[in-house]
Amino acid sequence: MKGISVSSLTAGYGGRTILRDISGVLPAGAVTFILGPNGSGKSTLLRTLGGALPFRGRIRFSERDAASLSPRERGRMVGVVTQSPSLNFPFTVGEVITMGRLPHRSFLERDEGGKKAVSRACKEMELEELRDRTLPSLSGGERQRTMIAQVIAQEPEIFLLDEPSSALDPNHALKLFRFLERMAAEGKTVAASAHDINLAAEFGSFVWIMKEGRLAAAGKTGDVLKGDVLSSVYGSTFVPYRREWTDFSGTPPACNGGEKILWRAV
Amino acid sequence: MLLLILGIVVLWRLQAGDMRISPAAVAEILFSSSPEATPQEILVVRSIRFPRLFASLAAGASLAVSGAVLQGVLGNPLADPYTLGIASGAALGASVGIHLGGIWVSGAAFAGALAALGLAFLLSWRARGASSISMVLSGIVVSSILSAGVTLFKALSDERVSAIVLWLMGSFSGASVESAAAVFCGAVLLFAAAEWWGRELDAMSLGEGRAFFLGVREKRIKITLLVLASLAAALPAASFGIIGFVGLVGPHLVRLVLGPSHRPLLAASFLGGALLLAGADGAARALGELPVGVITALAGGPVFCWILVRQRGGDP
Repeated sequence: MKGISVSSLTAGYGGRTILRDISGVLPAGAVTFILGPNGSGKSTLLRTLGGALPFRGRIRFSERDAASLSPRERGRMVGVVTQSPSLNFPFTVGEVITMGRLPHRSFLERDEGGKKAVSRACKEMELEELRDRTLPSLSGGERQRTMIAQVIAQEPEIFLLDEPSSALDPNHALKLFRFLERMAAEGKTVAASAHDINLAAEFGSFVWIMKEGRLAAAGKTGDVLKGDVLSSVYGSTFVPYRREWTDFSGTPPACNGGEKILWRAV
Repeated sequence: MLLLILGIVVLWRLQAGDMRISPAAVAEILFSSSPEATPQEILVVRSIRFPRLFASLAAGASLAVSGAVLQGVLGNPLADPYTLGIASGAALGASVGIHLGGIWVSGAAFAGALAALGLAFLLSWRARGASSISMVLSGIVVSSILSAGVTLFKALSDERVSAIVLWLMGSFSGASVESAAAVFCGAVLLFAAAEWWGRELDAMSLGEGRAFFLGVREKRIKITLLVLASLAAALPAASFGIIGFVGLVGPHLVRLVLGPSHRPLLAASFLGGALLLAGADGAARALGELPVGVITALAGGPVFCWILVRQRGGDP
Protein backbone atom coordinates (compact mmCIF):
# COMPACT_ATOMS: atom_id res chain seq x y z
CA MET A 1 0.00 0.00 0.00
CA LYS A 2 1.03 3.63 -0.43
CA GLY A 3 2.54 5.45 2.51
CA ILE A 4 4.85 4.19 5.22
CA SER A 5 4.39 0.76 6.72
CA VAL A 6 6.37 -0.27 9.73
CA SER A 7 6.66 -3.71 11.25
CA SER A 8 8.36 -4.77 14.50
CA LEU A 9 10.42 -1.56 14.54
CA THR A 10 12.95 -1.31 17.36
CA ALA A 11 15.49 1.53 17.47
CA GLY A 12 17.48 3.82 19.77
CA TYR A 13 20.69 5.75 20.31
CA GLY A 14 24.09 4.33 21.22
CA GLY A 15 22.88 0.97 22.52
CA ARG A 16 19.90 2.44 24.40
CA THR A 17 16.61 1.14 23.03
CA ILE A 18 13.92 3.81 22.77
CA LEU A 19 11.40 2.48 20.26
CA ARG A 20 10.11 -1.02 20.96
CA ASP A 21 8.30 -3.29 18.57
CA ILE A 22 6.27 -0.72 16.65
CA SER A 23 4.02 -1.88 13.82
CA GLY A 24 1.56 0.26 11.91
CA VAL A 25 0.81 2.30 8.82
CA LEU A 26 1.16 6.01 8.05
CA PRO A 27 -1.08 6.15 4.97
CA ALA A 28 -0.41 8.29 1.89
CA GLY A 29 -2.98 10.99 1.16
CA ALA A 30 -3.50 11.84 4.83
CA VAL A 31 -1.97 13.85 7.66
CA THR A 32 -1.06 11.62 10.61
CA PHE A 33 -0.20 13.17 13.95
CA ILE A 34 2.25 11.50 16.31
CA LEU A 35 1.26 12.36 19.87
CA GLY A 36 2.62 11.32 23.25
CA PRO A 37 4.19 12.67 26.43
CA ASN A 38 7.76 14.05 26.62
CA GLY A 39 10.30 11.30 26.07
CA SER A 40 7.76 8.87 24.60
CA GLY A 41 9.82 8.44 21.40
CA LYS A 42 8.07 10.76 18.92
CA SER A 43 11.26 12.44 17.66
CA THR A 44 13.15 9.15 17.66
CA LEU A 45 10.39 7.58 15.58
CA LEU A 46 10.55 10.39 13.01
CA ARG A 47 14.36 10.28 12.87
CA THR A 48 14.30 6.52 12.45
CA LEU A 49 11.74 6.76 9.64
CA GLY A 50 13.98 9.44 8.09
CA GLY A 51 16.85 6.92 8.05
CA ALA A 52 19.08 8.66 10.60
CA LEU A 53 19.09 5.87 13.19
CA PRO A 54 19.88 2.17 12.88
CA PHE A 55 16.87 -0.05 13.50
CA ARG A 56 15.65 -3.62 13.67
CA GLY A 57 12.42 -4.60 11.98
CA ARG A 58 11.15 -3.26 8.68
CA ILE A 59 10.24 0.13 7.21
CA ARG A 60 8.64 0.30 3.76
CA PHE A 61 7.99 3.45 1.75
CA SER A 62 5.14 2.42 -0.57
CA GLU A 63 6.66 -0.52 -2.45
CA ARG A 64 10.29 0.15 -1.49
CA ASP A 65 12.17 -1.23 1.48
CA ALA A 66 13.64 1.82 3.25
CA ALA A 67 16.96 0.03 3.79
CA SER A 68 17.39 -0.44 0.03
CA LEU A 69 17.26 3.29 -0.78
CA SER A 70 20.49 5.10 -1.67
CA PRO A 71 21.03 8.37 0.27
CA ARG A 72 20.10 10.34 -2.83
CA GLU A 73 16.92 8.35 -3.45
CA ARG A 74 16.02 8.77 0.20
CA GLY A 75 16.66 12.53 -0.06
CA ARG A 76 14.28 12.75 -3.00
CA MET A 77 11.61 10.64 -1.35
CA VAL A 78 11.66 11.70 2.32
CA GLY A 79 11.80 15.25 3.69
CA VAL A 80 12.48 15.61 7.41
CA VAL A 81 11.85 18.87 9.28
CA THR A 82 14.06 18.93 12.35
CA GLN A 83 14.55 21.55 15.02
CA SER A 84 16.49 24.77 14.40
CA PRO A 85 19.81 24.45 12.53
CA SER A 86 23.24 25.54 13.67
CA LEU A 87 23.68 29.29 13.52
CA ASN A 88 27.46 29.11 13.30
CA PHE A 89 27.56 30.23 9.69
CA PRO A 90 25.47 33.12 8.38
CA PHE A 91 23.73 31.46 5.43
CA THR A 92 20.89 33.50 3.95
CA VAL A 93 17.29 32.24 3.95
CA GLY A 94 17.51 31.86 0.15
CA GLU A 95 20.68 29.77 0.40
CA VAL A 96 19.21 27.51 3.09
CA ILE A 97 16.04 26.88 1.10
CA THR A 98 18.04 26.21 -2.08
CA MET A 99 19.94 23.48 -0.20
CA GLY A 100 16.63 21.56 -0.28
CA ARG A 101 17.37 20.90 -3.96
CA LEU A 102 20.55 19.01 -3.11
CA PRO A 103 19.10 15.53 -3.79
CA HIS A 104 17.93 16.73 -7.21
CA ARG A 105 21.27 18.22 -8.29
CA SER A 106 24.53 16.79 -9.50
CA PHE A 107 27.37 17.78 -11.82
CA LEU A 108 25.85 15.72 -14.61
CA GLU A 109 22.19 16.43 -13.98
CA ARG A 110 20.46 19.79 -14.36
CA ASP A 111 17.90 20.61 -11.72
CA GLU A 112 15.09 21.67 -14.05
CA GLY A 113 12.41 22.47 -11.50
CA GLY A 114 14.82 23.93 -8.93
CA LYS A 115 14.08 27.65 -9.16
CA LYS A 116 10.35 27.09 -9.27
CA ALA A 117 10.41 24.79 -6.24
CA VAL A 118 12.48 27.27 -4.24
CA SER A 119 10.18 30.21 -5.04
CA ARG A 120 7.15 28.10 -4.21
CA ALA A 121 8.66 27.11 -0.87
CA CYS A 122 9.43 30.78 -0.12
CA LYS A 123 5.88 31.72 -0.97
CA GLU A 124 4.26 28.96 1.07
CA MET A 125 6.19 29.97 4.20
CA GLU A 126 5.92 33.73 3.41
CA LEU A 127 9.67 34.20 3.30
CA GLU A 128 10.00 36.23 0.09
CA GLU A 129 10.97 39.40 1.92
CA LEU A 130 13.40 37.58 4.19
CA ARG A 131 15.31 35.80 1.39
CA ASP A 132 18.48 37.84 1.79
CA ARG A 133 18.46 37.89 5.59
CA THR A 134 20.92 35.59 7.37
CA LEU A 135 19.76 32.79 9.70
CA PRO A 136 21.35 34.26 12.86
CA SER A 137 19.48 37.53 12.28
CA LEU A 138 16.03 35.82 12.24
CA SER A 139 13.64 35.08 15.10
CA GLY A 140 13.08 31.46 16.18
CA GLY A 141 9.80 31.21 14.28
CA GLU A 142 11.30 32.66 11.10
CA ARG A 143 14.11 30.10 11.31
CA GLN A 144 11.59 27.31 11.75
CA ARG A 145 9.70 28.52 8.67
CA THR A 146 12.99 28.58 6.76
CA MET A 147 13.74 24.96 7.65
CA ILE A 148 10.20 23.92 6.68
CA ALA A 149 10.64 25.79 3.39
CA GLN A 150 13.87 23.86 2.76
CA VAL A 151 11.90 20.61 2.98
CA ILE A 152 9.12 22.00 0.77
CA ALA A 153 11.79 22.86 -1.84
CA GLN A 154 13.00 19.27 -1.55
CA GLU A 155 9.62 18.17 -3.02
CA PRO A 156 9.52 14.84 -1.18
CA GLU A 157 6.79 12.21 -1.39
CA ILE A 158 6.89 11.84 2.39
CA PHE A 159 6.95 14.70 4.90
CA LEU A 160 8.16 13.91 8.42
CA LEU A 161 7.90 16.93 10.72
CA ASP A 162 9.16 17.08 14.30
CA GLU A 163 7.00 19.61 16.16
CA PRO A 164 6.90 21.87 13.10
CA SER A 165 4.78 24.59 14.70
CA SER A 166 6.55 24.77 18.08
CA ALA A 167 7.91 28.28 17.39
CA LEU A 168 5.29 29.50 14.90
CA ASP A 169 2.73 32.21 15.53
CA PRO A 170 -0.92 31.07 15.12
CA ASN A 171 -1.21 32.56 11.65
CA HIS A 172 1.84 30.74 10.27
CA ALA A 173 0.93 27.55 12.13
CA LEU A 174 -2.46 27.61 10.43
CA LYS A 175 -0.86 28.20 7.03
CA LEU A 176 1.58 25.36 7.61
CA PHE A 177 -1.12 22.82 8.47
CA ARG A 178 -3.28 23.94 5.56
CA PHE A 179 -0.28 23.44 3.32
CA LEU A 180 0.25 19.95 4.77
CA GLU A 181 -3.40 19.14 4.15
CA ARG A 182 -2.98 20.19 0.52
CA MET A 183 0.11 17.97 0.24
CA ALA A 184 -1.91 15.07 1.63
CA ALA A 185 -4.69 15.82 -0.84
CA GLU A 186 -2.08 15.52 -3.62
CA GLY A 187 -1.35 12.00 -2.40
CA LYS A 188 1.74 12.65 -0.27
CA THR A 189 2.36 11.06 3.11
CA VAL A 190 2.50 13.53 6.00
CA ALA A 191 3.45 12.67 9.60
CA ALA A 192 3.93 15.40 12.21
CA SER A 193 4.68 15.13 15.90
CA ALA A 194 2.96 17.57 18.24
CA HIS A 195 2.17 18.23 21.86
CA ASP A 196 -1.09 20.00 21.13
CA ILE A 197 -3.78 17.30 20.94
CA ASN A 198 -6.17 19.76 19.36
CA LEU A 199 -3.88 20.28 16.37
CA ALA A 200 -4.38 16.59 15.68
CA ALA A 201 -8.12 16.93 16.29
CA GLU A 202 -8.35 19.77 13.79
CA PHE A 203 -5.92 18.78 11.07
CA GLY A 204 -5.17 15.09 11.45
CA SER A 205 -6.97 12.29 9.66
CA PHE A 206 -5.03 9.70 11.65
CA VAL A 207 -3.28 9.70 14.99
CA TRP A 208 -0.49 7.60 16.48
CA ILE A 209 -0.08 7.88 20.23
CA MET A 210 3.29 6.90 21.68
CA LYS A 211 3.98 5.94 25.27
CA GLU A 212 7.34 4.82 26.66
CA GLY A 213 8.64 3.94 23.21
CA ARG A 214 5.65 1.82 22.24
CA LEU A 215 2.69 2.57 20.01
CA ALA A 216 -0.12 2.90 22.58
CA ALA A 217 -2.92 3.61 20.11
CA ALA A 218 -3.31 4.25 16.39
CA GLY A 219 -6.19 4.85 14.02
CA LYS A 220 -8.59 7.48 12.73
CA THR A 221 -8.47 10.69 14.75
CA GLY A 222 -12.05 10.43 16.00
CA ASP A 223 -11.55 6.80 17.05
CA VAL A 224 -8.29 7.36 18.93
CA LEU A 225 -8.82 10.71 20.61
CA LYS A 226 -10.99 9.54 23.49
CA GLY A 227 -10.91 10.67 27.08
CA ASP A 228 -9.85 7.30 28.47
CA VAL A 229 -7.05 6.82 25.91
CA LEU A 230 -5.66 10.32 26.52
CA SER A 231 -5.90 9.92 30.29
CA SER A 232 -4.08 6.60 30.25
CA VAL A 233 -1.29 8.01 28.08
CA TYR A 234 -0.79 11.46 29.59
CA GLY A 235 -1.98 10.87 33.16
CA SER A 236 -4.35 13.87 33.46
CA THR A 237 -8.10 13.71 33.03
CA PHE A 238 -9.24 14.95 29.62
CA VAL A 239 -12.63 16.50 28.97
CA PRO A 240 -14.11 17.15 25.55
CA TYR A 241 -15.56 20.45 24.36
CA ARG A 242 -17.13 21.56 21.12
CA ARG A 243 -16.04 24.66 19.24
CA GLU A 244 -16.98 26.24 15.93
CA TRP A 245 -13.55 26.76 14.43
CA THR A 246 -12.63 29.79 12.34
CA ASP A 247 -9.36 31.38 11.35
CA PHE A 248 -8.49 35.03 11.87
CA SER A 249 -10.21 36.15 8.67
CA GLY A 250 -13.39 34.52 9.89
CA THR A 251 -13.22 31.85 7.18
CA PRO A 252 -14.19 28.32 8.25
CA PRO A 253 -11.30 25.91 7.69
CA ALA A 254 -11.15 23.96 4.46
CA CYS A 255 -10.23 20.87 6.42
CA ASN A 256 -12.55 18.22 7.77
CA GLY A 257 -15.66 20.41 8.06
CA GLY A 258 -16.67 22.93 10.68
CA GLU A 259 -17.37 21.58 14.16
CA LYS A 260 -14.75 19.62 16.04
CA ILE A 261 -14.43 17.82 19.32
CA LEU A 262 -11.44 19.26 21.14
CA TRP A 263 -9.78 18.16 24.37
CA ARG A 264 -8.66 19.95 27.48
CA ALA A 265 -6.63 18.49 30.35
CA VAL A 266 -8.09 19.22 33.78
CA MET B 1 41.03 41.57 -7.21
CA LEU B 2 42.66 38.91 -5.02
CA LEU B 3 44.69 37.73 -8.00
CA LEU B 4 45.88 41.29 -8.66
CA ILE B 5 47.02 41.81 -5.07
CA LEU B 6 48.61 38.37 -5.10
CA GLY B 7 50.51 39.33 -8.27
CA ILE B 8 51.80 42.52 -6.61
CA VAL B 9 52.92 40.59 -3.50
CA VAL B 10 54.67 37.97 -5.66
CA LEU B 11 56.58 40.70 -7.53
CA TRP B 12 57.49 42.43 -4.29
CA ARG B 13 58.73 39.22 -2.70
CA LEU B 14 60.87 38.27 -5.68
CA GLN B 15 62.57 41.60 -6.24
CA ALA B 16 62.95 42.92 -2.67
CA GLY B 17 65.78 41.93 -0.35
CA ASP B 18 69.43 42.69 0.30
CA MET B 19 70.02 42.47 -3.44
CA ARG B 20 67.42 44.49 -5.36
CA ILE B 21 66.59 42.97 -8.71
CA SER B 22 64.15 44.63 -11.12
CA PRO B 23 60.84 42.84 -11.91
CA ALA B 24 61.87 42.45 -15.55
CA ALA B 25 65.13 40.81 -14.53
CA VAL B 26 63.26 38.52 -12.12
CA ALA B 27 60.87 37.45 -14.88
CA GLU B 28 63.81 36.79 -17.22
CA ILE B 29 65.65 34.76 -14.60
CA LEU B 30 62.56 32.64 -13.89
CA PHE B 31 61.34 32.07 -17.42
CA SER B 32 64.39 32.31 -19.70
CA SER B 33 66.77 29.38 -20.06
CA SER B 34 69.77 31.68 -20.59
CA PRO B 35 69.11 34.91 -18.67
CA GLU B 36 71.46 37.89 -18.91
CA ALA B 37 71.56 38.45 -15.13
CA THR B 38 74.68 37.83 -13.06
CA PRO B 39 75.16 34.28 -11.71
CA GLN B 40 74.69 35.69 -8.22
CA GLU B 41 71.31 37.21 -9.13
CA ILE B 42 70.25 33.96 -10.78
CA LEU B 43 71.24 32.05 -7.68
CA VAL B 44 69.35 34.44 -5.36
CA VAL B 45 66.14 34.33 -7.39
CA ARG B 46 66.10 30.66 -8.39
CA SER B 47 67.51 29.05 -5.27
CA ILE B 48 66.48 31.38 -2.46
CA ARG B 49 63.64 33.78 -3.22
CA PHE B 50 61.51 31.62 -5.51
CA PRO B 51 61.50 28.50 -3.27
CA ARG B 52 60.75 30.68 -0.25
CA LEU B 53 57.94 32.51 -2.02
CA PHE B 54 56.50 29.28 -3.44
CA ALA B 55 56.64 27.71 0.03
CA SER B 56 54.84 30.63 1.70
CA LEU B 57 52.15 30.71 -1.02
CA ALA B 58 51.59 26.95 -0.90
CA ALA B 59 51.54 26.80 2.91
CA GLY B 60 49.15 29.77 3.12
CA ALA B 61 46.75 28.23 0.60
CA SER B 62 47.01 24.86 2.27
CA LEU B 63 46.37 26.10 5.81
CA ALA B 64 43.50 28.42 4.82
CA VAL B 65 41.68 25.80 2.70
CA SER B 66 42.27 23.24 5.42
CA GLY B 67 40.73 25.62 7.98
CA ALA B 68 37.72 26.37 5.76
CA VAL B 69 37.10 22.66 5.15
CA LEU B 70 37.47 21.66 8.81
CA GLN B 71 35.12 24.44 9.90
CA GLY B 72 32.53 23.35 7.32
CA VAL B 73 32.81 19.60 7.91
CA LEU B 74 32.62 19.96 11.68
CA GLY B 75 30.07 22.80 11.54
CA ASN B 76 32.26 24.67 14.00
CA PRO B 77 33.83 28.06 13.20
CA LEU B 78 36.53 27.51 15.83
CA ALA B 79 37.91 24.41 14.12
CA ASP B 80 41.23 24.93 12.43
CA PRO B 81 44.22 22.73 11.69
CA TYR B 82 45.73 23.65 15.02
CA THR B 83 42.76 23.49 17.38
CA LEU B 84 42.48 19.83 16.35
CA GLY B 85 45.93 18.99 17.70
CA ILE B 86 47.92 19.00 14.46
CA ALA B 87 50.33 21.75 15.53
CA SER B 88 51.10 20.22 18.90
CA GLY B 89 51.62 16.82 17.31
CA ALA B 90 54.01 18.28 14.74
CA ALA B 91 55.77 20.25 17.48
CA LEU B 92 56.27 17.18 19.65
CA GLY B 93 57.45 15.11 16.67
CA ALA B 94 59.95 17.79 15.67
CA SER B 95 61.12 18.20 19.27
CA VAL B 96 61.82 14.48 19.48
CA GLY B 97 63.64 14.61 16.12
CA ILE B 98 65.78 17.58 17.19
CA HIS B 99 66.43 16.03 20.61
CA LEU B 100 67.70 12.88 18.91
CA GLY B 101 70.26 14.87 16.96
CA GLY B 102 68.27 16.61 14.23
CA ILE B 103 67.54 13.59 12.12
CA TRP B 104 64.28 13.23 10.21
CA VAL B 105 62.79 16.35 11.81
CA SER B 106 60.20 16.87 9.05
CA GLY B 107 59.27 13.20 8.99
CA ALA B 108 58.91 13.10 12.77
CA ALA B 109 56.82 16.29 12.72
CA PHE B 110 54.56 14.85 10.02
CA ALA B 111 54.11 11.60 11.91
CA GLY B 112 53.45 13.55 15.11
CA ALA B 113 50.81 15.71 13.41
CA LEU B 114 48.94 12.70 12.03
CA ALA B 115 49.24 10.76 15.29
CA ALA B 116 47.84 13.71 17.27
CA LEU B 117 44.94 14.08 14.90
CA GLY B 118 44.27 10.33 15.03
CA LEU B 119 44.28 10.53 18.80
CA ALA B 120 41.82 13.46 18.78
CA PHE B 121 39.55 11.53 16.38
CA LEU B 122 39.66 8.43 18.51
CA LEU B 123 38.93 10.31 21.70
CA SER B 124 36.09 12.22 20.09
CA TRP B 125 34.61 9.10 18.51
CA ARG B 126 34.74 7.21 21.79
CA ALA B 127 33.19 10.18 23.59
CA ARG B 128 30.32 11.22 21.36
CA GLY B 129 30.57 9.66 17.93
CA ALA B 130 32.86 12.38 16.48
CA SER B 131 30.44 15.26 16.89
CA SER B 132 31.80 18.72 16.12
CA ILE B 133 31.98 19.86 19.73
CA SER B 134 33.64 16.67 20.97
CA MET B 135 36.11 16.86 18.06
CA VAL B 136 37.25 20.37 18.97
CA LEU B 137 37.32 19.56 22.69
CA SER B 138 39.36 16.41 22.04
CA GLY B 139 41.76 18.44 19.87
CA ILE B 140 42.25 20.94 22.68
CA VAL B 141 42.86 18.19 25.26
CA VAL B 142 45.33 16.37 22.98
CA SER B 143 47.07 19.71 22.25
CA SER B 144 47.49 20.44 25.94
CA ILE B 145 48.99 17.04 26.68
CA LEU B 146 51.36 17.18 23.71
CA SER B 147 52.40 20.75 24.53
CA ALA B 148 53.47 19.48 27.93
CA GLY B 149 55.52 16.87 26.05
CA VAL B 150 57.19 19.63 24.00
CA THR B 151 58.07 21.50 27.20
CA LEU B 152 59.53 18.29 28.60
CA PHE B 153 61.77 17.83 25.56
CA LYS B 154 62.84 21.48 25.76
CA ALA B 155 63.88 20.88 29.36
CA LEU B 156 65.76 17.72 28.42
CA SER B 157 67.47 19.09 25.33
CA ASP B 158 70.12 21.38 26.90
CA GLU B 159 72.02 23.02 24.05
CA ARG B 160 69.47 21.95 21.40
CA VAL B 161 66.65 23.87 23.07
CA SER B 162 67.23 26.90 20.83
CA ALA B 163 66.83 24.72 17.72
CA ILE B 164 63.50 23.46 19.04
CA VAL B 165 62.29 26.96 19.89
CA LEU B 166 63.31 28.28 16.47
CA TRP B 167 61.58 25.40 14.69
CA LEU B 168 58.40 25.94 16.71
CA MET B 169 58.16 29.55 15.58
CA GLY B 170 57.97 28.59 11.91
CA SER B 171 60.07 29.86 9.04
CA PHE B 172 60.35 29.70 5.25
CA SER B 173 64.01 30.59 5.09
CA GLY B 174 65.89 27.75 3.49
CA ALA B 175 62.67 26.21 2.08
CA SER B 176 63.20 23.85 -0.85
CA VAL B 177 61.14 23.75 -4.03
CA GLU B 178 60.46 20.06 -3.40
CA SER B 179 58.91 20.60 0.03
CA ALA B 180 56.90 23.56 -1.29
CA ALA B 181 55.68 21.42 -4.18
CA ALA B 182 54.56 18.67 -1.77
CA VAL B 183 52.62 21.22 0.28
CA PHE B 184 51.12 22.67 -2.90
CA CYS B 185 49.99 19.23 -4.09
CA GLY B 186 48.30 18.60 -0.72
CA ALA B 187 46.52 21.96 -0.99
CA VAL B 188 45.33 21.35 -4.55
CA LEU B 189 44.09 17.86 -3.74
CA LEU B 190 42.05 19.10 -0.78
CA PHE B 191 40.81 22.11 -2.72
CA ALA B 192 39.60 19.98 -5.64
CA ALA B 193 37.77 17.49 -3.41
CA ALA B 194 36.17 20.22 -1.30
CA GLU B 195 35.04 22.20 -4.37
CA TRP B 196 33.48 19.02 -5.81
CA TRP B 197 31.50 18.59 -2.59
CA GLY B 198 30.94 22.34 -2.09
CA ARG B 199 27.14 22.13 -1.93
CA GLU B 200 27.27 19.13 0.38
CA LEU B 201 29.64 21.06 2.65
CA ASP B 202 27.11 23.91 2.81
CA ALA B 203 24.45 21.48 4.05
CA MET B 204 26.87 19.83 6.48
CA SER B 205 27.79 23.15 8.04
CA LEU B 206 24.09 23.69 8.89
CA GLY B 207 24.63 21.20 11.69
CA GLU B 208 24.67 17.51 12.34
CA GLY B 209 21.95 15.59 10.61
CA ARG B 210 20.65 18.21 8.18
CA ALA B 211 22.90 17.11 5.30
CA PHE B 212 21.97 13.48 5.89
CA PHE B 213 18.28 14.27 5.44
CA LEU B 214 19.15 16.03 2.18
CA GLY B 215 20.57 12.79 0.80
CA VAL B 216 24.25 13.60 1.40
CA ARG B 217 26.62 10.68 2.07
CA GLU B 218 27.72 12.56 5.14
CA LYS B 219 30.05 10.01 6.72
CA ARG B 220 31.99 9.25 3.55
CA ILE B 221 32.46 12.94 2.67
CA LYS B 222 33.31 13.84 6.26
CA ILE B 223 36.01 11.19 6.59
CA THR B 224 37.54 11.88 3.16
CA LEU B 225 37.70 15.62 3.70
CA LEU B 226 38.99 15.29 7.29
CA VAL B 227 41.83 13.05 6.10
CA LEU B 228 42.73 15.37 3.19
CA ALA B 229 42.46 18.49 5.38
CA SER B 230 44.71 16.87 7.98
CA LEU B 231 47.31 16.02 5.35
CA ALA B 232 47.10 19.54 3.92
CA ALA B 233 47.73 20.99 7.38
CA ALA B 234 50.36 18.46 8.47
CA LEU B 235 52.56 18.90 5.36
CA PRO B 236 53.36 22.62 5.92
CA ALA B 237 53.68 22.05 9.69
CA ALA B 238 56.26 19.31 9.03
CA SER B 239 58.32 21.33 6.57
CA PHE B 240 58.08 24.89 7.84
CA GLY B 241 57.12 24.69 11.52
CA ILE B 242 54.15 26.04 13.40
CA ILE B 243 52.38 28.86 11.58
CA GLY B 244 49.18 29.63 13.44
CA PHE B 245 46.07 31.68 12.73
CA VAL B 246 46.16 31.49 8.90
CA GLY B 247 43.77 28.50 8.95
CA LEU B 248 41.48 30.22 11.40
CA VAL B 249 41.55 33.85 10.28
CA GLY B 250 41.81 33.30 6.50
CA PRO B 251 38.39 31.64 6.01
CA HIS B 252 36.73 33.99 8.51
CA LEU B 253 37.97 37.07 6.63
CA VAL B 254 36.68 35.62 3.35
CA ARG B 255 33.29 34.80 4.92
CA LEU B 256 32.91 38.43 5.98
CA VAL B 257 33.09 39.47 2.33
CA LEU B 258 31.64 36.54 0.36
CA GLY B 259 29.38 34.79 2.89
CA PRO B 260 29.60 31.17 4.03
CA SER B 261 28.81 29.39 0.73
CA HIS B 262 31.68 26.93 0.27
CA ARG B 263 32.46 27.04 -3.45
CA PRO B 264 33.42 30.75 -3.50
CA LEU B 265 34.73 30.51 0.07
CA LEU B 266 37.23 27.77 -0.77
CA ALA B 267 38.51 29.47 -3.93
CA ALA B 268 38.96 32.79 -2.14
CA SER B 269 40.52 31.07 0.90
CA PHE B 270 43.06 29.37 -1.39
CA LEU B 271 44.14 32.70 -2.89
CA GLY B 272 43.63 34.72 0.29
CA GLY B 273 45.61 32.28 2.45
CA ALA B 274 48.48 32.32 -0.07
CA LEU B 275 48.38 36.11 -0.09
CA LEU B 276 48.26 36.39 3.70
CA LEU B 277 51.20 34.12 4.32
CA ALA B 278 53.36 35.45 1.48
CA GLY B 279 52.68 38.94 2.86
CA ALA B 280 53.43 37.86 6.41
CA ASP B 281 56.67 36.22 5.29
CA GLY B 282 57.58 39.44 3.44
CA ALA B 283 56.97 41.40 6.63
CA ALA B 284 58.99 38.85 8.63
CA ARG B 285 61.89 39.24 6.17
CA ALA B 286 61.63 43.04 6.09
CA LEU B 287 61.67 43.21 9.90
CA GLY B 288 65.03 41.48 10.06
CA GLU B 289 64.20 37.80 9.49
CA LEU B 290 61.70 37.33 12.30
CA PRO B 291 59.99 33.91 12.50
CA VAL B 292 56.90 34.04 10.29
CA GLY B 293 54.81 32.19 12.92
CA VAL B 294 55.32 35.14 15.25
CA ILE B 295 54.06 37.58 12.63
CA THR B 296 50.94 35.52 11.84
CA ALA B 297 50.12 35.12 15.54
CA LEU B 298 50.76 38.80 16.30
CA ALA B 299 48.60 39.96 13.39
CA GLY B 300 46.10 37.08 13.37
CA GLY B 301 45.13 37.24 17.04
CA PRO B 302 43.82 40.81 16.99
CA VAL B 303 42.17 40.28 13.58
CA PHE B 304 40.31 37.25 14.95
CA CYS B 305 39.19 39.28 17.97
CA TRP B 306 37.90 41.95 15.62
CA ILE B 307 35.97 39.35 13.58
CA LEU B 308 34.45 37.92 16.77
CA VAL B 309 33.31 41.31 18.03
CA ARG B 310 31.98 42.26 14.60
CA GLN B 311 29.95 39.05 14.29
CA ARG B 312 28.59 39.44 17.79
CA GLY B 313 27.43 42.95 16.84
CA GLY B 314 25.53 41.51 13.85
CA ASP B 315 23.37 39.22 15.97
CA PRO B 316 19.80 40.28 16.81
